[in-house]
Amino acid sequence: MSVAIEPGTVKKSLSAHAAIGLIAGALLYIVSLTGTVAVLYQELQRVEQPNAPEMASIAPEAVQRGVEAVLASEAGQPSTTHLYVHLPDEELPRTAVTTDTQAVYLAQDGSITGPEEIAWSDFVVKLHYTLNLPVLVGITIVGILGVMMLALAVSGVVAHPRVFRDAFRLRARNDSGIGLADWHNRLSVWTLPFSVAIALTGALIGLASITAYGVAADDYQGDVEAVYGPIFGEEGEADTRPAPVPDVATALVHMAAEYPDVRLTYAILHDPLTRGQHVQIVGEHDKRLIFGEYYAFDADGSFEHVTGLADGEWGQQAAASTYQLHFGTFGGLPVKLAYLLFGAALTAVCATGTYIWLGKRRRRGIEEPRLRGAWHGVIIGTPLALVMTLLARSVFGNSFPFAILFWIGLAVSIIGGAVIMKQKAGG
Amino acid sequence: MTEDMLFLAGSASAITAILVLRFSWARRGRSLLLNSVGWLLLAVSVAAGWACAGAWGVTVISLWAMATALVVLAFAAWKSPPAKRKPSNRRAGMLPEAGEPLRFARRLTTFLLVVLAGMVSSIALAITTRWIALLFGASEANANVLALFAAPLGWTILAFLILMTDSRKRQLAIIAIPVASAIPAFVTGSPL
Repeated sequence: MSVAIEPGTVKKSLSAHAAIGLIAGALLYIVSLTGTVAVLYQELQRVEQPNAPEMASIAPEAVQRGVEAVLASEAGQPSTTHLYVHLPDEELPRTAVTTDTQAVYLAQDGSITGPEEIAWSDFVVKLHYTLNLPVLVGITIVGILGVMMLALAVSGVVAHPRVFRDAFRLRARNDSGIGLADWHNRLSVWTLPFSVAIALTGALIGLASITAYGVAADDYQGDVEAVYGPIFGEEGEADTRPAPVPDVATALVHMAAEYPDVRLTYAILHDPLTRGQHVQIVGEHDKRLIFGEYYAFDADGSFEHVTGLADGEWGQQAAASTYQLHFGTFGGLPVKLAYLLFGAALTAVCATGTYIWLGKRRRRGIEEPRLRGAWHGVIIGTPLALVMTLLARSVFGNSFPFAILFWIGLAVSIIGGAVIMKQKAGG
Repeated sequence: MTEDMLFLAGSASAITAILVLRFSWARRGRSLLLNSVGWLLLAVSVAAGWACAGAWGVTVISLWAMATALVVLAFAAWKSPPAKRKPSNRRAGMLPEAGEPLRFARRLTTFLLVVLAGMVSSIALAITTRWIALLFGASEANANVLALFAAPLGWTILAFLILMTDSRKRQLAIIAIPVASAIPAFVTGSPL
């Protein structure tokens, strides 16, 4: 494929590509690397806490007993607003109950076996989602990084008119700059559909909050939840008067009888132990990108309705498809391995971009040892700091402050890299 | 069973398409026939993926195509002779070179235009998109999802366009147009 683009446009596009890449490059690299690791989130949980009880399935009555036991354990405390039961599946054959204040595993009979201790796996995911910042700020910044990745894809294609023509040309055996540029361009072009999908879904997830604020301010009197209501379903009316534990078992029995082909992933209790409580079952559909369909039940376990994520409005289906498409959890291990491979390629693209720019400046006689050293610090320091946190997990346990160690380790690596390279250059 | 066969055929078609394109693009002269066969096989694989499992099928089959390309690339890297050509030193113009002024204020302004003004403008674009969708009879769910998609896509285009022009006036116009387009939505309220 050959595309005729004006030389002036190509030059401006290269400048735009470099500007975005240099400003966002380090954070893009961190988000790409952690995203690649987070593809194995379920598997990492199993490695991090290998002794948790595992099961292929769990009986509805056992789930009911587990829910009752967890809610009883929180008696005397402020009631949890939501209670999530993760139901065992192929990727994570464990039953875990999560409330606002705790997460525990259930045994096959529904008894509580102990706390969920997967703080390191959660840390990696939070680093990817929010860069360990407060949620709204962090997720918005990561959303902006998604936009910048999309802009890099557009400007990269425009800046390299031969990018498709040379799609299979890889002069790897070259250390003068051609090899690096070829790796960068070839990996970019062949992972382009993946990168665009990841960047768009990431940007959408990240920017959904501030976009929803804008839409809510325009049309819902500032009620952000009302923006999501038509898509993912409305929360029920709150009624805080006390009520007995809802009947989750009946809801699960109904699902098994009426929807035998649906793989149940979660049972969600909204406002449990209040009269406003209701139950949602989340079920995955085979060969679909949607994370699942919501099946709504009242507190007695009587079926009420489906939300329509599987077969409702196309907007609902599209919105529900963004999460699995982003995290690669829609096709078992083969898809996860593909996401690992392409994620690693995308991370390499992020790393090589700045090296290409530094190399061009060096060939024009501009030596920047501090900048080069700092970039070495980012590229080597990020995986190194991640490994350090993993070691800290095994030595110091689940409650170690992984985020602090990671960011301090990365900062030391960046500053150290800059200082060492400057000294080597004779400064 | 038919679906599985279709999925397998689509996967095989995607992998073959990449191999055919590799063979075609490695020749001295481009072969229209081979190129056409390659692209046709890719189109067939997408159609097969869609027919057997909709968006899921297209997505998975495209993963196999990309994976095949990366395997072919790895092979190319393994076999590649040392490059003789000089590497590019095209100037990107991101930072000043010796003797050039830093023009920090100008660079900072451009950054703020892309990030802060771009954010406001893209949210305005999302509101406009939703308002127009509702005017044309879209359901509330579809209109809201269109808004959620419009923000990142709009911002991407705005960022690219702003960085592609040197004229500050033009950059401001690029930012202002989506904001101005949201005024009717704010003034008239919801068409719901």
